[in-house]
Amino acid sequence: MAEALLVVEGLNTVLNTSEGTVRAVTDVSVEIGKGEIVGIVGESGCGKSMTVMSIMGLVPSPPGEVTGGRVMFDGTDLRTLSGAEMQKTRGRRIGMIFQDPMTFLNPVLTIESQISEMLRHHLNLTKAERRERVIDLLRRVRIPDPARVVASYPHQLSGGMRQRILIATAISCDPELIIADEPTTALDVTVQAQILELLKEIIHDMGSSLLLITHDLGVVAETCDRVYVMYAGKVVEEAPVDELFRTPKHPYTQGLLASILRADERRDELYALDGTVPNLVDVPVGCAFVDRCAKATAICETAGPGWTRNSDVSGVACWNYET
Amino acid sequence: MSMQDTPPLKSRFAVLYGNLLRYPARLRLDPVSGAALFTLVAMLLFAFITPLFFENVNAMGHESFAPPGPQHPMGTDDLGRDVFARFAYGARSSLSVGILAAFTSSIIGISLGAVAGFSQGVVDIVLMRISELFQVIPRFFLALLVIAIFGSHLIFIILTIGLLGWPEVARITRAEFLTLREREYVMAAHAVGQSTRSIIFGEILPNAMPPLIVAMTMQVSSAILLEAGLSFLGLGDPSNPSWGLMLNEAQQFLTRAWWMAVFPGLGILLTVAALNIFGDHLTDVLNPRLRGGR
Repeated sequence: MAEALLVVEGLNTVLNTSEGTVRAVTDVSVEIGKGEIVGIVGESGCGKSMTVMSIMGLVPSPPGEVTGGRVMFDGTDLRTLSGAEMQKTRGRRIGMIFQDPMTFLNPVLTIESQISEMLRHHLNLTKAERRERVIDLLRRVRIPDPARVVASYPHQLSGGMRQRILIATAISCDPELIIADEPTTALDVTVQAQILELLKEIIHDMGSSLLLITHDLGVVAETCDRVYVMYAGKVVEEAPVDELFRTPKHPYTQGLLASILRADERRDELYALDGTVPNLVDVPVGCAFVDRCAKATAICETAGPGWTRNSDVSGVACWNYET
Repeated sequence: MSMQDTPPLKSRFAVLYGNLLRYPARLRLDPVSGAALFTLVAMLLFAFITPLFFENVNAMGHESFAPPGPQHPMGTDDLGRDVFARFAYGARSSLSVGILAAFTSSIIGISLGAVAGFSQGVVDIVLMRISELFQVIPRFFLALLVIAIFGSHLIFIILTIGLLGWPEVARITRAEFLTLREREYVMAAHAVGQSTRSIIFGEILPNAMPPLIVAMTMQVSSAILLEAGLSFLGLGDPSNPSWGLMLNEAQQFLTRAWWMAVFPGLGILLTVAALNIFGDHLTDVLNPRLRGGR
């Protein structure tokens, strides 16, 4: 792995609700090297997005609160930065791409003003330079006729175009790290592939790193170098992509992979993981996956599994994982 | 890179709020709102141009209670002054009071409402209790009091009306901010490191403008009415004839000289009705979702 750019250690985030404290993120440790594309996969509500929000310092408070851990970005702990310093980091050094390009663009502002607003905050450019840069950015994300598109409003563009605009916004200040939270979920499949291709290419050209949050293992396989699997607020497995797909170790990962449909395979019955994600208000004492796990033994009920490191780049949190 | 085919650079203000000032075609006028807009424009032009042709509206003439005729299109009053000249001056003071008072209350209301809605918590609670304090005081009587203390100069009337109208604007602004601050594009603006100030004025406020524009037109009309009411009770600025002051003067002579009351009354009626109708129409037009593509 290349030199580390972002190192998250023992991150804990809770949400204080009327029903009790929800442990949204528990002891999550994630590492991203320079120029690397890292994925975080998991189903809805497993804490992927909360992890990202915690890294960015955007956890809505109340009810949310980051209770512990370090977020080392290029040598500084983002959690110790002041509000103003963090503001300078967001957008400038860490770009973010969101899920739904319709709701994440301001409906009453033109594309140009949305992007150049950000340039105005982070870079010292004249108005004409900003305009030039916006058009250049749109060209980089392959938007046809950028000179016309800058003057349009979000509702006048298609979903794929809007997602390209969001990407253009995220890369507008050449950030070292880009965090993409389900960037293709709101798009249809053909556009998805184009957007992923584009994203990879841009990341590569800029020499930046990408943290990709998704629930889609297909997206991970196509894009990422390494991947973290999250379940119920915890990282349960970490591995390089080909290793994860070839030899998944955690029973949850195995279940996820088994439930993928493949075109070259004939199946009479679809595989599905039984049960549901545990309620994160009262997390079970033992392993969070125990109720749904086929390999569960007595110890799984009483104690949470520790982290077993298999190599520099892979590890698993399970008592009975397969080697 | 070629810049020839690109649209011209606009100032930041024009980009953010330009929709509100765009071409008349975008106003999608129907006959009623068209008539309202026409009335407003005509009234504004009349109010700010006609008075320039009259030298001294308070000068007494030698003919009292002359009915409307070629010499005096709106007749003369008890002191022989030309009602038309006073009507034109009245239009100017009534409209300036209306617009300036609405401007004052909008500035205060929008800033306080935005801060309250955006920050929530203690700030919100304190600001809203203050606005309630202003709302429970009967506007008219507070205005009476202020004018009784500070005198009836036009500036005080404008400020008083303006200071009384802000809670309404503040409440609308706050309500809009409470919902808009939760929108995803606001979160996105946080994520790209925009400052709080630019999120409030650059991201949220433009989205909150449609109901605010309507509230502002209503502020103008209610300010005109309030000023007319004050002047009618004799608390207006006597050296600056306004429509309300004219009505005040006319009440003793209602049976002798109907023209003294009818024309300023019509002026108020037309202006306020036109403002309200046009304000309603703006609500529909300013909805960004109803705005057409290009």
